[in-house]
Amino acid sequence: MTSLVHKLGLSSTLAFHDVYSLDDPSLLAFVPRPVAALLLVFPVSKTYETTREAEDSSLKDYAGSGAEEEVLWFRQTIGNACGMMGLLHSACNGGAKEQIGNDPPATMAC
Amino acid sequence: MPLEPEARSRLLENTPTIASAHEAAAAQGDTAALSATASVDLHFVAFVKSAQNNLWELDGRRKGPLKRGQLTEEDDVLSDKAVQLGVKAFLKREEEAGGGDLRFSLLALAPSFD
Repeated sequence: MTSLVHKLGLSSTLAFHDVYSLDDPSLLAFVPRPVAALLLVFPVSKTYETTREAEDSSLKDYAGSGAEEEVLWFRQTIGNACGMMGLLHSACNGGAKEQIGNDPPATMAC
Repeated sequence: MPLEPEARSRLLENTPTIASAHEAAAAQGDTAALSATASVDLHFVAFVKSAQNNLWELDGRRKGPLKRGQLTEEDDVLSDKAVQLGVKAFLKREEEAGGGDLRFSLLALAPSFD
C-alpha cells in the first residue's frame, strides 16, 4: 500500500503502518503520530451489507462538490478497487492532502 | 473538488496512470491478482478528520461520506475519541447486527520511519 501511494504522488514523509491493537497502549505506541487517516480492512459479510443497506436507506445519493465540501469522497464503480478507494480517501483528506506533489496522478483525482 | 461524485468516478476509471499503478501494485506480492469481475472478500473503509475537526467515515460503496462525530483540534484519527467514534462504533454496529467475530486489520497513514 505504501509503495502504491508514493507512486501516486503522496510524499514519502508518509507511509502506511499496521496497527496491531486498539486497546493495548504499548502496541498503539508503535504508530507514529499524528495519524492522517485510518484504513479499516475486513472481509465483506452479510452483516456489513445489512448494516450498510439499513443505514443508507434513509440517505440521499451524495451530490456534493466544490470548495465547500468538507471531505472528498469517491463512489466506487471499479470492481475490486476498494483498496484503491481506501487509499485515495486516505491521501486526499485530512493531514495527508497537503503532502501530495504537484505533478502526479493523485492530484488529478484530488 | 469541482467534479460531482459521478464525474469523479468516471475520471478515476479513465485515468490510465491510476489504473496501471494499481495493476502493478496488485501484481506484486504472493497472491495472484483477481480480475475486476471476480468476487473478492476484502473491503476498505477510511476514517479521516476534516479541517472542521469532524470525523468522517469514507466508504466508496455507501451513498456518500458519513459524519461520525466531532473531534478536538488536538485529536488525530488514532486518538481515543476518534477510535470510539470511528472504528469502535463501526465494529459495534457489526456486532449488533449479528456479525460476531469480524476479522479486521487496521492501517494507519502516518509519518514514515525514515
